[in-house]
Amino acid sequence: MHDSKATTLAATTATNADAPSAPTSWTLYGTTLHSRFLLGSAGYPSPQVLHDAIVASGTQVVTVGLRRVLAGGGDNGFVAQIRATLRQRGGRLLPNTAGCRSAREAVTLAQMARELFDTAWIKLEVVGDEHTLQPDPWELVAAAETLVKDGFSVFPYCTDDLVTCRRLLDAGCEVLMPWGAPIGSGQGLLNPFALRTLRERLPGVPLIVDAGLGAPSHAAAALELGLDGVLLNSAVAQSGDPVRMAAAFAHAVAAGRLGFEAGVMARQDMAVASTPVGGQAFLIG
Amino acid sequence: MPECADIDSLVYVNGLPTPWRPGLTVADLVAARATVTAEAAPGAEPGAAPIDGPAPPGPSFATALNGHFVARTRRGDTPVQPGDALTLFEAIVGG
Repeated sequence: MHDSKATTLAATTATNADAPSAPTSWTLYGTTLHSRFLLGSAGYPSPQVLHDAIVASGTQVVTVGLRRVLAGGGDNGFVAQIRATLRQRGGRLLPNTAGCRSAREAVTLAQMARELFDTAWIKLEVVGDEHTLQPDPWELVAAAETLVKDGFSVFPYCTDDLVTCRRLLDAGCEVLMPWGAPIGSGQGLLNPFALRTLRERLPGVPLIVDAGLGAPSHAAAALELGLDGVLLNSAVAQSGDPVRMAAAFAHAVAAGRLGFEAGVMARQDMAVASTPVGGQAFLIG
Repeated sequence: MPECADIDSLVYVNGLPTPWRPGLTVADLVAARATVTAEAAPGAEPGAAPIDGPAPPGPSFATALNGHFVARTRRGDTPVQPGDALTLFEAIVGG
């Protein structure tokens, strides 16, 4: 209805020299992407800054949301700007179910999102705790099952729990989005061991670290671990200069992926001399 | 303002009470919402001219009746009963 089965989003002609091209492409639900950087659209000071950040990031996927219509509401042109920018650059929207507390709420919101945004892609969020905003794993899996059967391409926001991730895959999800840290916390990768475990135990599954990243180094670390991409919003929107930060994250994502593909050296417990010792002259005075 | 005794003859649109009548449909309620019924192109919003040209026209809101999605194409044949709650959702930015 909405998505072609096999789509390649062409690498956009960079109009900003700070946006590097990704080293390798990857595929999400039949769509081939050249950027491993997914960008959230909330919290920017103006549509102009949002536009410039999207360009600087090189992203091809931008998240959006829904809310109850408010009297005299509207969003001051942000969504229109996102649509225009992505149309020009060949990107696509990824609506979310932010604010949902149950599978039923999430399913209803996803159905509305599909109609509003004309896409079957959905970032599935079902929150289980108001303080940590961590997902409710049971409601998340239930919602995923229903949405997959209804033809959605589900991007579940989940914790780094391996068993929950397996249940999501069993439900029909082809992509997983484990958190790095609580949403908006900027703490980075709180449990790299768990993320590394997901990578090792779920080979071939696209893993996108979503939530909690704060600095470009966090994104680089995630890609170096072998995860496939990152999704972040606050780290860019709430930085001192969102456009420059978007470019910084783009570089970090590309560097992390290149580092992973190049093969990071193994850690050593003790020093290992890098300069050859044999044949060196020793001055004995 | 409807009398409290007429609560059975009310429906709610985004939490606001509205009189019910026989034959009322979701489409009727939507049409009665002057601030949200204009199916204008998003780019037509005041002061919202996007960079890189205007956005194409599309639906400006979605509807759910008693927590269940009602597609645009079904609004005209979806009846509303007393006590029902219709919620309208619009597109916004998100993370």
